[in-house]
Amino acid sequence: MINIVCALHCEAKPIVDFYKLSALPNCIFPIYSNEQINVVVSGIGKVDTAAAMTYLFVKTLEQKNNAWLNYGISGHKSAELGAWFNVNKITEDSTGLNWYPSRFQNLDCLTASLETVDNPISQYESEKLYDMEASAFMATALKFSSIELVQLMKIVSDNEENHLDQINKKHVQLLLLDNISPLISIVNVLKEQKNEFDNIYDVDELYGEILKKWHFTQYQQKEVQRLIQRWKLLCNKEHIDQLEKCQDAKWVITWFKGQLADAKVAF
Amino acid sequence: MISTLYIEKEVLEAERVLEIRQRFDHLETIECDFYGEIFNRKAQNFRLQKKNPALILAKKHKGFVLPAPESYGIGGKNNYYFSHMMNCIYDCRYCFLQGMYRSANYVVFINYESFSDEIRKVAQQHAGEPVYFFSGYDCDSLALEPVTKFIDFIFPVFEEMPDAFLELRTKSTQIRGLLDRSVLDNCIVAFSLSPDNIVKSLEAKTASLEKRIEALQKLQNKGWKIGLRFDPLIYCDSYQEDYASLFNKVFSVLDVETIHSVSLGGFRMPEKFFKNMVKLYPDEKLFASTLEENDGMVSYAKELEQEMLEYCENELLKYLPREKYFPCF
Repeated sequence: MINIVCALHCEAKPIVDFYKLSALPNCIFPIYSNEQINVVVSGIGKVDTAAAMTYLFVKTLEQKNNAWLNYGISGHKSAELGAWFNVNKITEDSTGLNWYPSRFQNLDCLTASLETVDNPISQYESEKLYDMEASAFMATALKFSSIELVQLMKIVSDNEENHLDQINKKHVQLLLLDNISPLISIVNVLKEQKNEFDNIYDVDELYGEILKKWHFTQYQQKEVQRLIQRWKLLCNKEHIDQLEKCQDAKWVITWFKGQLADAKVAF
Repeated sequence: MISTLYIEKEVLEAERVLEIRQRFDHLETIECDFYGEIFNRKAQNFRLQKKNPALILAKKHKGFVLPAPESYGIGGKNNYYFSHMMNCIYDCRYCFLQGMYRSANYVVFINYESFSDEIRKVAQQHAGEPVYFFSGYDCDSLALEPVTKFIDFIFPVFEEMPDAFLELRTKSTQIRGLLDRSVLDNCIVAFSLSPDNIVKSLEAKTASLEKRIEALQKLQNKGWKIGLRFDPLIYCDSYQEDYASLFNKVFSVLDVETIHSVSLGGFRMPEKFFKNMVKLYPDEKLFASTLEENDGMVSYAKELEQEMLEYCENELLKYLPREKYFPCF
């Protein structure tokens, strides 16, 4: 699953339309969803961003290690309006803390560092992006996922020549609709990364079936999960039907241990 | 190989950094305050990062030279190790680094002078006695030498201290620099060696066994002191044939007379590191084997470990005299 976080409805709309997402009913923060993508609209600022992300995390059954993407408008001292940037460093103005998202070689996009400020700014001090959400996005995303699955994309909506005051809903939508492809690219990159992650760490099917059939304590669940992983790597899978005779969790664990006692190790 | 360059603000203008930057001028370069912001952060996956590691150039502030573990040595009683680099370009599945570090990014500490100052100080503390300095604990000693040029820097330091010995532990065949220069008598170039099937299955990105033996032979012919490190011993059902064949291969090519030292060690890992490694690689056969935990360390079952060590020791001693053999167990 890719979880996308936007501050504004007008930012979310192009992605919602492109991926044909449906609105989930009765949500405190608006959520749009299909089988692969969730978009949550947080509102402006760090508190709302963190709250919206946590809300989405809980709404999606607290699935860890999903991909997270923050995108939206930002200011820049001199970059052209409509320029997309993949963010390589986030600094929180109020604390001086830094975050460094993973880098992807196959992204054809400009990169820039970003400063998260607490209030809209009228003066752009240096050649970096400015927003009001990114630091909270990073700090929160890393509670729920690994940094390799977290990315930020910003589109320049204001600069020294074109002030923030000039931005409106229509302006933002036009900017995004004019060039949505960098956003689609990053979503695809995150999908690939997430697939790779899942191929390694997805819950084993056999483990899932065994948990349904017998009752395991928390400790036994961890134990049998590891035994199944080891059994799949080292043992002959022919005798799996013997499991049917097991009457309880302890029996299942003993069975796997017995299989592993005769395991062959070859490289 | 290297995806991105991060450079600590403090060393941005250092000459060594500028040289390395020139080599990687095609890479995205990002300034950071402190390497730990990237290297030590939580919520990162070593396994995924290993596919596209970044290079972080930083300054080390303390702990330049540390005492080596007790069982570690090749004949001396004063043993130390140092690491100018964290993480290795190779990807050996049994390596403790993947359990110890959160990040797979490479960190190179560019203040080499701090290392050499400390090496001199420690050597001076043991004036009149041999003292051994082991490189290659947190990285391969030679693999990234074309980039770091650390060995090039540190050799003159050891040239002026004949009683201070430097071991370069490696799996790399980056020996051109060593072949092109005069031999340093107090340097031992020590290759880690495993049977062919283990190299192919568990030592990703390393030079093949054949290439390593070839490199050893070239070094030996040039006059370098060479060491053989059969460490860690890896169990599989055919381990006896595998290790017997390995020793035969190695000792049929190399001149035993001029080998400096040979060591043997078991597979041992702090339990915490091992747990991290299993989480990262739940699909790894090595970790699925009969390993057990005793006193916070994970190793093969005691009887099995003992059997392997005894077998390999007996085989080794068919080829070399006991005074050249240093068991690390």
